[in-house]
Amino acid sequence: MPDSATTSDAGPLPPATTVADSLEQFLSGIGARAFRFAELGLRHRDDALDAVQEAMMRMLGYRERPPTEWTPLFWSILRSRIVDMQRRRLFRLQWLTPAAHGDEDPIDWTDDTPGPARIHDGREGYARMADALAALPRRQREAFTLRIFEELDVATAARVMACSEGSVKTHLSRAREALQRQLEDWR
Amino acid sequence: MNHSGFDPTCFDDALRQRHATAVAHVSARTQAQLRHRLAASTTAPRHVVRHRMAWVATTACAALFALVVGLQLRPQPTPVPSPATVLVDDSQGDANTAYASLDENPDLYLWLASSDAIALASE
Repeated sequence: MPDSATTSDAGPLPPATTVADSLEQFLSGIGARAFRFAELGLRHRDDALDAVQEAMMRMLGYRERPPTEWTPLFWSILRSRIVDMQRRRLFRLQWLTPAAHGDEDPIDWTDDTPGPARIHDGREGYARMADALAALPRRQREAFTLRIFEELDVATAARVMACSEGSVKTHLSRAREALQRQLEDWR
Repeated sequence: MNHSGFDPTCFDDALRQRHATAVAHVSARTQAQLRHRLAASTTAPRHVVRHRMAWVATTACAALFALVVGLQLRPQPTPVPSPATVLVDDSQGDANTAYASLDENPDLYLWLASSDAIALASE
């Protein structure tokens, strides 16, 4: 394991979301982040929306859980839904509709920001990063997005990914190495 | 296997910044759909519970109706005389019939008094 991973994983990161008063408020606040997470895994806007909605519906069954458990629970449910949809899509693509999702633009981006150049830069930069993340193995992509983007600590990420903390660190370091090679100019 | 001059924190921050920008630039259409789907999700369980209760009530009523119909169509048991009584009566009836037939048949006694019966007995 490289030193960079150990130094970066040493301390717990602050939680990405504060504890919400109600589950509806929690889900409303996490919706856009959940959509981006699902979009990175599925590379399809409508599928990502479906995954987020299913995760929200399942999350409502855990209303009685303490609010401090909502964050790991939600990401765990959403991750499972994405994996299920990836498997279903693999079957569907192989046997039924090989040309599906071919022309779909995988990146959803608003156009109401002034300045087309800024829009293009932001969108192109994110699209490039999304392509690099899509090229990663699924577990590495999950570890990177949960640890770096969602700022979950190692223990929470391990709980979400249903693996050990050591596995999370290993996946994260390998993901970082691969991304570093693909995004050389971002270093 | 650390690359020289590579600062993972800066690299992570750069990617995190890109991601934060992307989260802030989710299109209005997608945000509206997220809100709509969240509202649909929060109301769906109530519908599910209501539908589930309706199914339970319907099933219970159907089961009760089937039980009532089954009880109505079940054949009613008819009173039958006890077999022991019948047997006793039959045995007594047979014995009486046999004795009566002996009493009422003079041919048997005529045959017993005949020479054929004596010859048969002496053989």
